[in-house]
Amino acid sequence: MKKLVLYTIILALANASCIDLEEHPIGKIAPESYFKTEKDVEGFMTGLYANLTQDRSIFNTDLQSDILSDEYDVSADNFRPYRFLLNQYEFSPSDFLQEDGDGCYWVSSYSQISQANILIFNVRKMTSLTEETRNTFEAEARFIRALVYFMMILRHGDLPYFSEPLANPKDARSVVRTPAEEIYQYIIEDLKFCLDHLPDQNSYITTQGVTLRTKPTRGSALAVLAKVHLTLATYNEIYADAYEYRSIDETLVNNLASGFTSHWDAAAYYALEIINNKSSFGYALEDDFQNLFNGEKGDSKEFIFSVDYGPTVKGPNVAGQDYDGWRSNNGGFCPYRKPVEVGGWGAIGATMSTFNLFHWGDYRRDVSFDITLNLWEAPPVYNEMTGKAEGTILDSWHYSQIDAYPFPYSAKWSRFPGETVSWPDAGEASMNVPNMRYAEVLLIAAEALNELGRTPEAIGYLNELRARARQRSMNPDDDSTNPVNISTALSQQEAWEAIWKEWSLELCFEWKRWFNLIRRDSLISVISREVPFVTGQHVNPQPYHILLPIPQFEFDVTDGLVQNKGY
Amino acid sequence: MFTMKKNVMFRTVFYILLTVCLALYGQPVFSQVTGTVRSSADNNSLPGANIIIKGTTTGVVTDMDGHYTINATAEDILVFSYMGYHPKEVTVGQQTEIDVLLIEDIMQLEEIVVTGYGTVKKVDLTGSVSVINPEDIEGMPVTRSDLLLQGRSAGVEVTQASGAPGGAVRVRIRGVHSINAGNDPLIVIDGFAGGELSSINPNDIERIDILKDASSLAMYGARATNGVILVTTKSGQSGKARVDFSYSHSFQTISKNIDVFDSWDWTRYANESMKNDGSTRTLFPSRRYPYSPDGSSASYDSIDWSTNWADEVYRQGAVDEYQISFAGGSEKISYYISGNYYNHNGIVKGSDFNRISTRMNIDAQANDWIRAGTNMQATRRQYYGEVGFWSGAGVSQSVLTSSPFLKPYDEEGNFMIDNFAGVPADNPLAAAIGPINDLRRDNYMVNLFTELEPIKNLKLKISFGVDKIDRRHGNVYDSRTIAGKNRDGYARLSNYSQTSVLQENTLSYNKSFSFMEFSLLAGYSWQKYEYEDVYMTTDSYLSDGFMFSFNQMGNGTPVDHQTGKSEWAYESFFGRANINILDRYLLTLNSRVDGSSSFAKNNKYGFFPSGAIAWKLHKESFMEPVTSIFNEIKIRASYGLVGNAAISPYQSLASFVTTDGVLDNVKVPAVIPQTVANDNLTWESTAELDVGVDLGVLQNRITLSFDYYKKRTYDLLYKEPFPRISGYASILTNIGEVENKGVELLLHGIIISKTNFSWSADFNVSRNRNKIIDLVGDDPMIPVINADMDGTLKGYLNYLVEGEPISTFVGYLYDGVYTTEEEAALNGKKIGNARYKDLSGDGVFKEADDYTIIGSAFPDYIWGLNNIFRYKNWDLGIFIRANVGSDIYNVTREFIEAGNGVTNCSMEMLNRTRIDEETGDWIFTDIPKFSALNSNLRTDRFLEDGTFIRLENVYLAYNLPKQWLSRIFVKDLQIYFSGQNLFILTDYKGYDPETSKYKAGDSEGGGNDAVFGIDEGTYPRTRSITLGVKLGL
Repeated sequence: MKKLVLYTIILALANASCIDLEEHPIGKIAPESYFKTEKDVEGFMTGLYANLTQDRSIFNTDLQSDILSDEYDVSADNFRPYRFLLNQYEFSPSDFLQEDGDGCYWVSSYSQISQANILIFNVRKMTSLTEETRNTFEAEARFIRALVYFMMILRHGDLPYFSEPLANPKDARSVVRTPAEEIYQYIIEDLKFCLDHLPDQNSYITTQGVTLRTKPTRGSALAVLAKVHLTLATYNEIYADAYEYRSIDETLVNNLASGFTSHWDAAAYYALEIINNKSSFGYALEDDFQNLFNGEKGDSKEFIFSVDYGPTVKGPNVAGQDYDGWRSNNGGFCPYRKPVEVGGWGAIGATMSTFNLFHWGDYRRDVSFDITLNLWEAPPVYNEMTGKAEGTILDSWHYSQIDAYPFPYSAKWSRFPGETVSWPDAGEASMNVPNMRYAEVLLIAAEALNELGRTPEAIGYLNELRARARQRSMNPDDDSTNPVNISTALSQQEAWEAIWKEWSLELCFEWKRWFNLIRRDSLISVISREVPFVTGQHVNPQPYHILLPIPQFEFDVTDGLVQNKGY
Repeated sequence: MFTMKKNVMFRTVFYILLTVCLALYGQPVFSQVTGTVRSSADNNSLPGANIIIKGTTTGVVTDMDGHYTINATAEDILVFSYMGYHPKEVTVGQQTEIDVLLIEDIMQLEEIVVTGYGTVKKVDLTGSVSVINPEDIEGMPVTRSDLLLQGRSAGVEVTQASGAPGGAVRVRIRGVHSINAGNDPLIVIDGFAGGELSSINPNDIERIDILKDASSLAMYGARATNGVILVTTKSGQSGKARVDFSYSHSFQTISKNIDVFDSWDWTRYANESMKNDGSTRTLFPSRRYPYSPDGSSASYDSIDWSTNWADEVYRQGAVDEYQISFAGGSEKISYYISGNYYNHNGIVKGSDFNRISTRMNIDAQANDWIRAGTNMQATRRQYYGEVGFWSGAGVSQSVLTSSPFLKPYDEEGNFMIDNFAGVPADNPLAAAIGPINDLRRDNYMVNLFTELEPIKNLKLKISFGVDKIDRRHGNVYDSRTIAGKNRDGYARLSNYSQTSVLQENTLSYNKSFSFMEFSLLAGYSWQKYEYEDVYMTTDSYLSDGFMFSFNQMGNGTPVDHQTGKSEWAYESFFGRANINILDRYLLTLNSRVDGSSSFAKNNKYGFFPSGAIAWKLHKESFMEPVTSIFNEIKIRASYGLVGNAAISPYQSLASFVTTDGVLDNVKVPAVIPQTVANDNLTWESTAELDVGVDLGVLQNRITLSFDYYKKRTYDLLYKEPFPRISGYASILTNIGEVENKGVELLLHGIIISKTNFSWSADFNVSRNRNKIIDLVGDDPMIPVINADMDGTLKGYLNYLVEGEPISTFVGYLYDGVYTTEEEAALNGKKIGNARYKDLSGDGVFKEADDYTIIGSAFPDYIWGLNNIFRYKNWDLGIFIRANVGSDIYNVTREFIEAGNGVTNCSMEMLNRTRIDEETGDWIFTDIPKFSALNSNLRTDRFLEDGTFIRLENVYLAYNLPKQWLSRIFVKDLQIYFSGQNLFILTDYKGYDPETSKYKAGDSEGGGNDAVFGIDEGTYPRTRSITLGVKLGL
């Protein structure tokens, strides 16, 4: 009996430790206990901006539109076969965007949209904040949402559209595509909300002495509105036969310009709204063109909205995606676009057709291209007939001829990367990359005004850009007389040609070209002139290429999505 | 308990017989017969054995040396008997000296098997359990405890994934069950679940029992799917104090060399490659070679050096091992204390490993109803040098691919930088000895128990234990290395510690009646884990002088730092009933209720039942006609359910996590959504059927076990993809099904058993078929996402395919070279480039649709054969094992047969497609021409048969005669010689068909089964010769 008592005591002691199988994770926050304070919202907002800079973000490398345009050519880097397919317009929905492949902006864009929706949904319920604060946060998130949808529509047309967080991600399986015109309507609504609730300027002054450009302001919303209307101006004619499964709602598109005589008028209005009030928004052209592309410089007064890459910052880990570190953040910029001799991958080079657009004296050519690092004794000359560069190749390892690209490289994103940190800890450059800069607003204004018949005004804005390009601030003694001013006496058509060229001179390698080609119905005529370096054969783009395919992986897990025409 | 019982019985019999003998003393004598009685198992003499003249009560017993003297007539038959051995009869005849060898009676010895929370007599075992007794393989130097299992047991596949000192070992029991949740078996060390097998000093292991079927495994419930390995460490014996010391030294060399081009072959190769690609220049080297004398214009005729990287990087390896142990005890207390030091200098310069381990096991009988004891171990392991930290491909691959032009050092004595591929890289020697890579792993395990027996046969056992792992990994890249040069020095420190606390209580009771016996067990246990880590990196050092070690990181600029913590726990209730009716019909019922914190709130607990039946056929009267030959015939069957809970915690919860944002170029904290909740997340379940038969032939001289099993693993933990438009990638969920089925055969035979010579052999063979039954969605092929392969293997190689094994290779079919320009042009290639089969039949080869299944990494079957010969004082052991039918994708060969003009080539490339220098015509072979345009697609060209038969170990030992030793107070002294991996029969072209598995460079992990079978140039296996001595006092 004594033994049994003892036994009972021991057993009782042994079991005294009660085990708790509930989990109390450290370093992870249960969503329902978040969104309590203003700081919580700020942290989540920062997470949204951080997501814009992730490796596969649409704001990041945007490799697809580079390669699809006539600005870039690819080398025989066989690590990424899809680049060839894009370059040659032979891609299919399955090879176009791999679910976990690099540059899969589709995935990151929707995670950005989802983040914005979570923020908007939760911030509206936060009674602890003033209405004004709530609206400002909401406006910031709606700006990002509008911008991401806009960039996505430009590529894919109709999209699955979400304006609220999903109760269960599985619900997305039965979602169908919303007509692009309708999404444009939501985009315009979002941007107009921003006009009412965002400040003209951010109050934060960066170490470079300019107001912060990595958060949207009223000016950013105006600029995107101008761009949206510029795109809608030709929408009905460009996309008339874009879809097999529906026809375009032209009336809706026209109604989106309500209050204006046309979308051109709207584009001009919003652009001029910025130009005429540029001081209150803090916008001005940068004196030295090179300073726009310098990782040391941070934001510029010319930036309207930019994304900020810090060299020591790891890419965010969104929705279970794992990033392998060494391409995180903007790791793509430097190595992709640099020749192998200087530690790049030699994967993507500039085309001679773009290089040859520039007058030799245009400072923008020196800034935009890297000819000192390539393999030519002197800048080669592009032969339109053969599609080949001609010139004398320096003695070099044959590998460079075969696997690397022997043309000039684009230098905007690789010459001054700022503080760099190499693999495996972080991304590789600390650029602030403008999604839009004031120069583009001038070009939008010029193009829209010219369409409205206000040609001399339009040329005036072009000449502002050309005047800035003549300043060689790196060596002021060297200030060029080129590029010369354009005469204000040009006809509307001649002015259009000048504007069209100026888009490239000013904004080449800044992810504008491919969308401009589509917008102005030039895709087929321009691209079919291209002779990719690898194949040596002309590209054969088709009318349906104005829209990219919906990635194949989405069809595997959804019902009701329809693929774009031609794919 | 078992040994004590045996001793008591033995003594009783001994004294009875001694009395009888004394009583009979003085009978008439005829002639004197003398001799020695020995055991056939170890040739040791048997003191106290009985010798009786048949049909009489006359007899004697042997003395302490096994000698006897008896008087008998020529017609007398002597009956030799000894407890635990088969009796033997010998007719005296004219012999005056009769030496006999008695064969152990395994059944009489009541060999036991350790099962979860208890033991069972082997004859009464209903499940499938493999037993490994390290004594059986004495003489084979074992570097890690997990290698004790290799080739010894049917159904257990043990792969030494890397030849690196302390290199990784992968253990798989009856196949691969999981894609995401891990396939490592549960290790239970002296009752402590969740230990690390490799942390135990192999010399301390008494026995290993491997639970394979569901009825045995169900005692470990949700953690048992991949099998359970029960390790029992040594204990002391009452009254038999022993001191054992051993020392051995091994010499190691690389087991195979692969020849590559020297500078002269390489120059012609590079120039031919340029020419084939249309270049007219043959200038060489060019400005790419920073070391060429004048920087640009040396022609290849002037090259006067060639580096053989293998000679620079490899050396002769050495292993030294010291072991000392003390064991003994009194009636009430027994002890085992040991210490071991193991030092290994690997064959790659700079790669070293050492291990210090200590153990103390104590068992005390406090009074007649309380027993208590402890098992304690502390192990320190230290790894240096190449561990494959940066990338999958190691030094041994760059030895083959690096240019022979490169020299290890430049004129100033710095490492020469390899610029050949365009991106600067460390040369192979610099990669081997340049960086400091120092990994230390300390394990401490303490387990205490008390066993109470308040009522006879009712036992309560309470145990409490702590297992702690401390891991510290430091790296330093000073400015001599590329990583260090780019960043003015770079250092990294990564620490973690993991503590597990386990508390268990079991209550057992057994009772026998005339017609039946039964035993019951009930238990409760809980186990808590705590994991913490610290990580930091720094760079930008003022000079190398300030970065002697990663312990000086304050001298650099912080780049990154992180800390983390996680906790998880299990709670379990379990029970078992064993029923034995008429010693013929056996029934076992096991069940466990397991709770795991890592599972979702709706599914914290699971129930894992199992049952087994067995029928001892030889006990039936109708079997009598055959029992003279078949002394044991047992048929058994079991069925049950087990689980796999090996996922990390918190995965069922919805969460926001912190990340880094940027504000004005400065890092700021940010929050992002990470996962959505899965309230139903649960374990993977495996239902297993096992049917087996055990046979004993000729008094167990031959024993045979045969098993058939079939397992279905369902509710696989799988990341089910969401539409990406939802903003989320996937959710960890339970979906999919995998099947493993197979057969196992185990054969043990005493082939020859003579006084001075014996030969025994063990043979095992097993076959496992792995098949994916069901996966998420309708995708016919799902690439296995593995970030490590990105950029290295140019995409995916391993796919998950329904109806195929988990590790299935998908690729293209190689089809020689293009022999006409027309055909080549159709595919965008040139004459002499590699051609691939157009499987879709559209006339053109397309990467997008011409791929197919090309093989699987899993073997068709594996076998092992161990022979032990004893002749007088000599022991000879020969151990052979084989793996048949596995495929290996040889990535290293893909590199050295690329012929792209940059990567060095194997000598096979001399037979490439080329232009005949005299005739100018193409000579077509099955190897493409040198060309940078040869695309390196994954084809069956580099998929090789990994079949091998390996002479794993041969040992020869000499035991010095006892009579010599007794004069110097030494009990045993053995000197031995052993050779490992002396010979291998294989067609595989890489270093080794077994070690060269993908991502095996990590010394701790066994890799991922879904990307198994890829040879990316892991640390080569060695050939090793060992000399050793064992001394017993």
